[in-house]
Amino acid sequence: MDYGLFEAINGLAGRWTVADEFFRFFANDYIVPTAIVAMLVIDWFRGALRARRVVVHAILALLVANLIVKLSNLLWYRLRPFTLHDVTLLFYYPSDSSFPSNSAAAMWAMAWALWLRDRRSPLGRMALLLAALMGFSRIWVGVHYPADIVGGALVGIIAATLVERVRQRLRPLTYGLLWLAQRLRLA
Amino acid sequence: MGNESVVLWLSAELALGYFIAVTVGMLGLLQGVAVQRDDLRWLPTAWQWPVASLLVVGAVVVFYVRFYALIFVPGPAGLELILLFGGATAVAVWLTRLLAALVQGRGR
Repeated sequence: MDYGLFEAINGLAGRWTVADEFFRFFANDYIVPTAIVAMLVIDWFRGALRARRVVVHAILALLVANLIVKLSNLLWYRLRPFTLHDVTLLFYYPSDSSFPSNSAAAMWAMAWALWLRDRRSPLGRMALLLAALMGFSRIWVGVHYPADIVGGALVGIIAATLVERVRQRLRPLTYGLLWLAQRLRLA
Repeated sequence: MGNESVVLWLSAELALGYFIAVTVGMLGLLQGVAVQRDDLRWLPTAWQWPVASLLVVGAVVVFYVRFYALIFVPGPAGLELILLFGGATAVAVWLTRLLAALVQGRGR
């Protein structure tokens, strides 16, 4: 089923230049990650202390998500779709494990942390939309199976939720980082 | 120059381009935020949104078009990108504070 879905999505690649360029724009390593972190920067400067705490939590969630992905890769290395099948590849050849998607985990960890702060906030919703779009784009360009993206998104959501759950225990670290940011005139 | 040296040099060029794009984009973004935070404002109120938008969109477009070919080959990723982004954002914040202090100090 995973490969069937991959084939259905990636099978559309290479037909329309406009669509390919659209998904390449959202699939690369720079645009969406920078946009989501920029949203955290907006929240950091626009919001009060609580918003800044959430930014610290989002960064911690990103680190936790990365750690989970690294541990998972030690247990199971899944080959990329282009190594096993004939795919339309619109991207470079990543050499790390396909499952779970590292980029999806990172984007969903930050977006979910932002969304958890205020579920009605347009910033959080926009970050989730961008994270989802990046995931879909990575299937379109041929570097991930759908299950990799779903797995990565789940890792990100779990990491952000975990950090949110233990936020009281993280207070010394959070306030230490906030104090440092103030000392460096970054707040 | 061997292949590895070429890759390193291209990555350095891309990293520098990314650093500059983020710095410029963040300068714009912070002027957008400065609508609500006067201590970051260094542009006249009427200019804030147009210049902020121009800086953000300009930084994205110039970076994407200029480095299009390099974006789709392996380059800086993960921790390297976080460091580049963090460093560029810090420079933009310090530059914003400096400009705001100069402009607002002159206005007093």
